[in-house]
Amino acid sequence: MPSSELNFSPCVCLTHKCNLSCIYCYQKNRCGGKMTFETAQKVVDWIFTHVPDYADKVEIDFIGGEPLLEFTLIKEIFSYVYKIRPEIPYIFFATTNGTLLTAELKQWFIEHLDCFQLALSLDGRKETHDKNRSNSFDSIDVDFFLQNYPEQGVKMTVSEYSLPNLADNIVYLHSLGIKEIEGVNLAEGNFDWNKDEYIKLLIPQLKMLVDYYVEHDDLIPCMLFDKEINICETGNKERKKWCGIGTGTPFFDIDGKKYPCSFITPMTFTENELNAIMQTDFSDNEKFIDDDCFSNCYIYPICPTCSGANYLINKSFKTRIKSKCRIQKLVSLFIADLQAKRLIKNNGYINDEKDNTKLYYTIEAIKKIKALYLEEYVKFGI
Amino acid sequence: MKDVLAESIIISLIALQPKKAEITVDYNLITPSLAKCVTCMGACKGGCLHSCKGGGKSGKKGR
Repeated sequence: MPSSELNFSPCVCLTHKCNLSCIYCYQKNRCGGKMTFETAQKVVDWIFTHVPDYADKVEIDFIGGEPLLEFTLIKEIFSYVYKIRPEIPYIFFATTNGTLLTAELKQWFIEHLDCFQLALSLDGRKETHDKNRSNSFDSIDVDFFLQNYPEQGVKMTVSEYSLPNLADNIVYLHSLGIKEIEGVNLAEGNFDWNKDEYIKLLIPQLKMLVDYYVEHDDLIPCMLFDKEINICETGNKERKKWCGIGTGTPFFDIDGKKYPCSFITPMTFTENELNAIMQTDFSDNEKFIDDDCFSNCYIYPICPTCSGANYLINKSFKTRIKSKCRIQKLVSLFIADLQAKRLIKNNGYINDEKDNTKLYYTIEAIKKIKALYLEEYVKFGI
Repeated sequence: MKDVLAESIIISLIALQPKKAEITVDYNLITPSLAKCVTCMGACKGGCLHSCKGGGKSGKKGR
């Protein structure tokens, strides 16, 4: 089951190297270096002496590049943390491309299942995955992840190449037994998601996915759909950052230097940009809220944004990448459609519960989303 | 399946919708569930962008 604990989740970058070259990778400035064990010790010491009061547990997220390229260092860090015996519970986590798991690595990870979680990046069927992720599909032992990390979702990133087969790819991942599909994030960076051709491609895919998730209403919809639209009706929207940038998600680069999150690093930004970024007061939520979106967009509470990507494109944390607006509004229509059809199928029950308040506001949100956005997409054959 | 948010769907939904007078909770007081958002402390309100690094769903207790 998903944890309801609040983790302190620092990222530790073990290496800038990666054995793949994914088409959507935003880490354009990787230097090829790696972290030393001495640096890793200092980072670990910092982490366990700076655990925020809110945290119930520390989750150290190894990241790269491809973190499993530094398996020896992973084992050294693991042993070091065990030796210092932190007072707070801890767990290690790494997202991997899955291509480097030799028999030796698999055995080690199996022996440490209680405190080391691996998650796989997988973009769907071989054809799509290979196009996005350097022909790596055949190098991945998906069964290893399914057998040993059955509750862990996979991370799926959507590129323009994914769109024509998006539904098939998501259905395929579910057919493998993957319960949750994390991500399904629209690739960050210089993709122009505003293009008409993407809207045309996406509409039939989203229709197929709605039909699939209505038929299989025991499944948690992939993250693209898994939004609580009733929140849009909440009157007191909070002026909060969308993510933990600069506060809950510190990132330690290979030299031990700390950055605000895994997006804002020397792998993606220049030194001058980083110097400017580091002057930001990350505790000030107002610096991260797009006032236009907050005040004028009905789906603001369910519209994800990456502050780091906003800065990359707009040189501002406040200003969201507006090229995603059309697609987000389109997606909200299909979220509403899915929730409407599931409600009708299940006679008003939401996840086996009848919550009149939530039901009332979910239906209000469905009606409003239709009234606000449907007309715009009629010309695309929605 | 019916068209996206077809009028017949909306009519069926309205039939299911409780009357506002039946709502006993002041919705403005409800805080959206934070259960999913372990990395960002709930700032994403269920949108769960901590998927930016794929983490946070293990549910394992750790050491």
